[in-house]
Amino acid sequence: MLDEFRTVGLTDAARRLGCDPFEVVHLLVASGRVAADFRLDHATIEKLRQVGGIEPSWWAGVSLPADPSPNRARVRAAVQLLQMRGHTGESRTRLDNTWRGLSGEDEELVRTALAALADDGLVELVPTQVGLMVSIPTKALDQVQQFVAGRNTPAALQAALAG
Amino acid sequence: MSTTTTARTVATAMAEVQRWRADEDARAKAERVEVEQEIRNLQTAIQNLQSQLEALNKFGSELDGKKEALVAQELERAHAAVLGALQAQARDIGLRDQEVGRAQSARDAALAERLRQPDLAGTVEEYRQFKTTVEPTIAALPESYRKVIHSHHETVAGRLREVVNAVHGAPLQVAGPVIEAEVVWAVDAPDGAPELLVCIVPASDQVHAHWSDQDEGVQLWLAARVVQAVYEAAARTGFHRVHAMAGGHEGLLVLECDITGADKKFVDSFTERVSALLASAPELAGVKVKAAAVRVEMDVLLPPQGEEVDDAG
Repeated sequence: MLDEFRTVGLTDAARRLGCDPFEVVHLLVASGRVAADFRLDHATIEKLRQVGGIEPSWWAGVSLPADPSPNRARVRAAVQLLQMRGHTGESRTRLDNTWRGLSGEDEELVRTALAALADDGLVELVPTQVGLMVSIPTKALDQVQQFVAGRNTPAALQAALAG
Repeated sequence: MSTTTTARTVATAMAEVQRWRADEDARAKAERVEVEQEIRNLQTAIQNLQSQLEALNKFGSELDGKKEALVAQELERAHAAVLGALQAQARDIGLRDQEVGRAQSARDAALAERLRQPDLAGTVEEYRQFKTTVEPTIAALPESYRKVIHSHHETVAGRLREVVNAVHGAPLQVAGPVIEAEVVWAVDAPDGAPELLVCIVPASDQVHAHWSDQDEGVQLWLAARVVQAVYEAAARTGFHRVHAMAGGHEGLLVLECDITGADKKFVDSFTERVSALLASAPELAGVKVKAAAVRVEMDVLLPPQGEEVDDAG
């Protein structure tokens, strides 16, 4: 009940923000708010959420597309969410926005899959001052559309899903 | 009467010449035999020396080979020594983290106990009632009432904040001997320009892989200070596209950053920041961990013929 008065450590801050503790440190540095002992108050956590562009989970109420591979269905849905939210070209979002709210296993799946799709050129990962960002390159929109529709699976993703 | 002189005859003289010649031939022949024997002796000696020379050359080459092998062996031994030292430190730090957990629990219990004391119990109850009953409906009240209620609530909240800060405000403290912790790091710059920063932290790789299942402690704080140094160096040198990736190597936590495109200033800044941050971290000092950064050659962290860092990401 008295949480608003208590400062929290990096792990609790990470749980509240939905990103890993090292990203909390990244955002603390980016916002110039590193406390001497790594303790964060409620206001600082909310500031980090704002500075980092940390969004609530995208996955509430999302239905996965029909697919013989449940893992590929999850990845297709993640890419579709990215596309539907307009994250193409220069309009990027935090990479961890794509998996926030998923179980640990599904988070790892989406994380690995997006890295593979980056190798295939279907998404672009860009490190920035506030974290790793992702978007769909404009030139890859047709390919992405094919993938989201379940009509092809890029080679690197196939290997990642098989592995 | 006739007499015969004893003068030498030509024949005698010639016979003497022939004897001389025979003697000389015999001497020359003997000398020739000696010379030939000497030549054979010398040839044998030369062959022996040549064999010795060849043997020495071979031995010399073997020594050169051993020297090259020693360089590789030295790197392997240095790698094993560094990892062994860090693993030993990680074990000690893991034990210290158990003490940190106990200290945190004790601190939480102390706060709960303090809040139950008679001089505070009423304030806590007042705060609880405000949060559960008053706050949800306060918008319906006239502004003048709201102001009074909010003003009183601020007084209540201020008192509680003071109490919480008194218990939780300072870094955790634990008793026990000082533990030395070293973060070992290296920069790979095969063509002169820095390309990769690798840091090995005396912490389990599980600290990052399963962070959400664990309470935080020294292992996370050490790694977090290194991450802070990376991003502070990035901010100070304008190299914003650096991203610290965590992985594991031999059970230890590894932080890797692709720093292709960064110049030497980034490395200089990281050198300064990582040392300063580790040395001055109050959360580490509070739990009696003395931390430092040690720079080594990249070949020591990742010997050329050794394993690559696995699972970075």
